[in-house]
Amino acid sequence: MTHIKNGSRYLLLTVVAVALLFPILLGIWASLLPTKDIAAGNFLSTNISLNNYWQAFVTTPIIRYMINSFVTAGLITIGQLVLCTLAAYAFAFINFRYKKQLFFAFLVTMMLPFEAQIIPNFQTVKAFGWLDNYAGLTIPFFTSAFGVFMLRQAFLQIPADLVDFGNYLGLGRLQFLWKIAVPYSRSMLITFALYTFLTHWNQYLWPLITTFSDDFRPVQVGLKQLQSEDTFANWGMVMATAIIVLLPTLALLLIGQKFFKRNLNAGGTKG
Amino acid sequence: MELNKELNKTATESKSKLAATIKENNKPAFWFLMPSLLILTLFTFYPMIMTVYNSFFATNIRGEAAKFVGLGNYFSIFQDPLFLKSLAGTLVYVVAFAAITIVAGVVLARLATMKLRRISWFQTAFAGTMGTSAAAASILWLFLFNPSVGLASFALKAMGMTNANLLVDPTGAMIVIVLASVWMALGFAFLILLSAFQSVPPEYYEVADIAGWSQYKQTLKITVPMISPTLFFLFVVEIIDGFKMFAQIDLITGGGPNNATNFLAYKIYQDAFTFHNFGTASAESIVLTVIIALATWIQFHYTERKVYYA
Repeated sequence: MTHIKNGSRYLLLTVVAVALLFPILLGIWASLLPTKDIAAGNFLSTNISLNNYWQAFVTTPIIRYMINSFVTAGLITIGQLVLCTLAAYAFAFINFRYKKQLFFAFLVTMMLPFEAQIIPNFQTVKAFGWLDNYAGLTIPFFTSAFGVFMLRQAFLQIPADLVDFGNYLGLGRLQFLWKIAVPYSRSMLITFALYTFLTHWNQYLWPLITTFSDDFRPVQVGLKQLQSEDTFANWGMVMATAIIVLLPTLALLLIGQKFFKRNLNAGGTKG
Repeated sequence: MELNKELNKTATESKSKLAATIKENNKPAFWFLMPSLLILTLFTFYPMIMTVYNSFFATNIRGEAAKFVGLGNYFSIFQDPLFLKSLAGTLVYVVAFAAITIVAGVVLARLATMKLRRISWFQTAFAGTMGTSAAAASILWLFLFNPSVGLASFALKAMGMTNANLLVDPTGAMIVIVLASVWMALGFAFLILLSAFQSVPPEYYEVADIAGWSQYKQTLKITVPMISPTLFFLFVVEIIDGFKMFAQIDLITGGGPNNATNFLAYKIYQDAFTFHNFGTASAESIVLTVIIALATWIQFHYTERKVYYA
């Protein structure tokens, strides 16, 4: 009896999972088919091959776009890790004048949508000569109130005994930060780094308006570029490029899932 | 009397000592905060002030404030049928998107908390859409609903729909955008709800089992009320995300057909970077800011008090 019941439960779960992932599974399948079979609606074709991928790598700048995205998201992640950690340390461990007001000012930025700031930011970046450049793609995002807030919460959870121990050892501020606070908050820092990398790997609007050349265009905007060029009707290859773009983030998610499960909720609901 | 004086003296002394340490700490605190403050000032506070400023001006083709018009831009956008249509469409989209995402997320979380071996495999699968970028996901959905090669279009035709090309129909395009957006947001919503589901003490279900409650009743009468703070948190997060939604529009519908999916963030982008009406776009940006600031404030205010600590 329980066998049958469990069996039907597994069936239900499998059906839901396949339905949910169907757009991705279909994309993977289509990326293996020749475009002429797709155009003819022959989805059950057995002519599968990696030709579309080969074609995408050889005839489109997809690799260049991936490198651009990797550099951009990587630099932003490093920048945010350093700057947010420093600011979070100050808010968690130092008493200073106007601390409350400054912390409030940080929190207020979370209420202000970036979409409402793009015109002046575009003009600023243009004035600095940072258009179509890694500087313009990354420097505006080198800190985030969300990150400062999340890491401050993590630092506040460090036991008072450990802080006292640091003082007893006579550690300076940076030594304490590096030798005690950072290792203690390791899993939160990893979650934050994964989250930041994913967010900026996926970023769309800002690079759309600030990049004009293949030398800096990240892969998300590159997809639009590839899709709107004459390759548009070449569905097999378009699907291959979409899958190439998906793979790194899917892999990152699989690796980071245990961190996400543990920490996103803590940072989210209690934030 | 003497003692009082003595106590006062000590209090003043320790107070001035504290003031001294605080003063002493201002400098290191400044160095720790300075890099972040610099970035936020330059790329968040300054542009926000400039957007407010620009919204009071008619701007020239280079985007420089040319003529002070006071609230003129605001009056004209709220009389502009296109902006009102955009706002109404955005509201319909946001509510549908947030509601469907949460209901679907709850169903998935319920399924993924069944006591079965290898259930974590399904948890990973359900969270899978979280790894898809808006751009790549948009292309997958565009392919699904493409009139000539899309499987969803074939299916609709097979079910007898005469006009199976949803993307040329205003309602159809709205449906596709909502579905695609829900799909993209579902992985994150599911993960958050999953841990909320897991935080409900199992004793509650044991008692309900004894009382003979059905699984359905247990979910509705125990789980949902217990996780209501998380539901509320997610609802606000999805509303904020919904108002900012951009990539799906840019890639799937381009705001069409007939501006049916020309939602707020996309309209701002078009007015600013296609038509170079920076004044109008700034006023529209402020409307967006007010909506999002309000939603965020409600979230802070509410979650601070009502979070259920397991």
